[in-house]
Amino acid sequence: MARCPFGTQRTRRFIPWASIAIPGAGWLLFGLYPSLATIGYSFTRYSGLPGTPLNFCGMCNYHAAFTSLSDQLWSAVRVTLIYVVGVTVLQNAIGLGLALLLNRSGRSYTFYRALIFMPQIFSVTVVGAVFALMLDPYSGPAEKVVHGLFGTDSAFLGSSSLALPLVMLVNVWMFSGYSMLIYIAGLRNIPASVYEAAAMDGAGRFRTFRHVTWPLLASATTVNVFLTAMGTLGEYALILVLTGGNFGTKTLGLYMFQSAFGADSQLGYGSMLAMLQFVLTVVIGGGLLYTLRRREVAL
Amino acid sequence: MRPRITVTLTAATVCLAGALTGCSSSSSDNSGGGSTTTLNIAEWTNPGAIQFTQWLSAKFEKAHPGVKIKLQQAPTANGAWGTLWNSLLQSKSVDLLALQAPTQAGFAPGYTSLKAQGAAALIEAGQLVDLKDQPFMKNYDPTMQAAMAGRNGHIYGVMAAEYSAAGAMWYKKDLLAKYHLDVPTTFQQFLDECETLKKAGVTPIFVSGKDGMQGGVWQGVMNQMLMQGKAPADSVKVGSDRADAFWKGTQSWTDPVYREASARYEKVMKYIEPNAAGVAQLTAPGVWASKSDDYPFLLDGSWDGAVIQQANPKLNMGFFTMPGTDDAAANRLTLKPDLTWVVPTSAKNKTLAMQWLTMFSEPENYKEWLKQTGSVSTQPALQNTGLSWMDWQNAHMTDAFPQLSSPWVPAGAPLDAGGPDFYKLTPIGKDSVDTILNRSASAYRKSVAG
Repeated sequence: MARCPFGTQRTRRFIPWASIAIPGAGWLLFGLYPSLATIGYSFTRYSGLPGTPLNFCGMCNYHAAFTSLSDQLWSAVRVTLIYVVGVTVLQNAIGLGLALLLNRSGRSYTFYRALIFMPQIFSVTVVGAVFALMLDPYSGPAEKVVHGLFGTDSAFLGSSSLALPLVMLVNVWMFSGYSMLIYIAGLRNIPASVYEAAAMDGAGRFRTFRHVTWPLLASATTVNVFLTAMGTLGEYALILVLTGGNFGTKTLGLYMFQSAFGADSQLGYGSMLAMLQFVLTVVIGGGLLYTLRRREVAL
Repeated sequence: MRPRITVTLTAATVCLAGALTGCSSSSSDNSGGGSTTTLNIAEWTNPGAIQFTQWLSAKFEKAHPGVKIKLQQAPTANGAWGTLWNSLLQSKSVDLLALQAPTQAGFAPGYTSLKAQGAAALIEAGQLVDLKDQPFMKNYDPTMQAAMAGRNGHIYGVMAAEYSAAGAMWYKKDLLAKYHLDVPTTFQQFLDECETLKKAGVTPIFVSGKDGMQGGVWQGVMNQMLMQGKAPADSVKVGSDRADAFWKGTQSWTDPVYREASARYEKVMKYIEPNAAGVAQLTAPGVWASKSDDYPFLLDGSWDGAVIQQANPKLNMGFFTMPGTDDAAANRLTLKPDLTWVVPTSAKNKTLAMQWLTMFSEPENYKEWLKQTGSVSTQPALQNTGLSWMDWQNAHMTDAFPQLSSPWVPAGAPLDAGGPDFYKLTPIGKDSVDTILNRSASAYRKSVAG
């Protein structure tokens, strides 16, 4: 009998348990512990700096957020909601459009799909820095294009009316390829026979899309809408690099980051904001899943 | 059997987690192998300062065989530097660290219930080594060092750099000469010069409005107005009295001095470049330097001298503090406390860190530091360098004063609470002075009420 490469029968019994223990330890350390610590820190005035005291203060941060600092909180929540809705709708619309356009065989289509997906693999910081340079009104190319086309100029990311839409567009540019791939997977799951039946019934392109493709893409839509909304709810890095949260672009995620790690350096207050963001995420995520699942069943 | 398995599994998981925790918190800072010791230095990215630190570190390594210096840096933009130094302290893997001077304003009085932040929090928690009795401290002014990095009779850092920030203004000497203009000495003269330049088809001022550099105008005017007729040494008291009065509600952002500073700010802002709101601080000095026929003035701190010179080595540039009042004597240079070297108590190589600071503080090396960074000297025995753009600054050092500290605001407070929000104030934003100041006053009261 050949010798087993995984040790004796006695030691082999531990392999399944070790397989659970190793990821379990990772989860304890990198999942559960930071989560519990965040909850704990939210009741303190901890600076987050090593060796500094925790300064337990009970509900002080929650109290301040809903009383003395409520304007700042509601402003961040409002911007977050606009950002989430805007990006989710636009990214899914563009992702779906691209999927319909590029869901064909052939090397050129593979190339285009890869090209459109590519921004997804770049670092958010790099993308943000590149777009910040491109949108600089004096040294960036965007000003020349806008001036050439419309004979006008703009402060772009320094404009209170344009900054948020521009940040949303950069976000959509970066992640539309991801939505496209999910929609393509959904499109490929639709049986050809359904389209043949629709064609025999005399349905045109629009009617086929409306009554066949769109309903049968329900599960892909659920996944896409849920992932996009959850991803954008916590977004802060891209906004930080593009505008620093100025000109009406401070989301709850960015407010949290700046409170915890910015000049304020108050991890306690930032942790409290992270808890509020968690609640917002649960409410929006839960609501979305419930609605989209019901829609899937209804279809 | 089942309970045994469960217990074994739990124990294994916890042990592994513990082992991983141990791995994550341990630091490998000084074992490059064999007899090599690594001195870990961290500093934020400022081209001149980094260049000097690399130069001095090479010299230090030569003088200390077996010592290797590892310099880590990150830009201050987007919180990168804050994240780096916090991580280095958490992992106990830094021996010498550059921090912003905490100053006495970092320690808000007990009645505010505010907790210290940044370097001040580290000092209060006993995380920094007392440098007071180190021999190299004799090269610096002990009173100034105590005011900038001291607490309860101890000095926890050596402030090596000071810059001009409030009202700081770079100018193109040749361009002013072309229009027969001098460095202005009063606020009205400055406005008149801007008007002359504007009529000649030149945009007078270039500023990064995207990163709030326009606030320097307001800060400069406000500092000069509040310090009018006062000795430079009074600035600490003026700042702390003001912070105290704000907290107690006897002063407010709607007071006449702030209305006047805002009105003057608006007058200056008429002369900035269009779309200044979209210009980032990262690109502003380079764009300004490269356009030698336009924008005679640049609103930017004196720390950017090396960046401007690198962008256009041929530029004949000068520097002055914008006159904020019509009394020339009141228009003084304000200095912003800046880079301060600290040694964490967790440092593995404290002795080497002290030796590095000793070498840094030697007059010949410190003089090179001043030359590379454009900083104002914090060593009384050393005059500022002969950098060509420092002529105005050198002539105005005698009555220069440290920039006034800001009123205390709680963490998470809106930008408005700490003063006018220049992103919303015209012309960068759309709100009027009245709206902005009323909002600031209200935001301040509301944020401290909690």
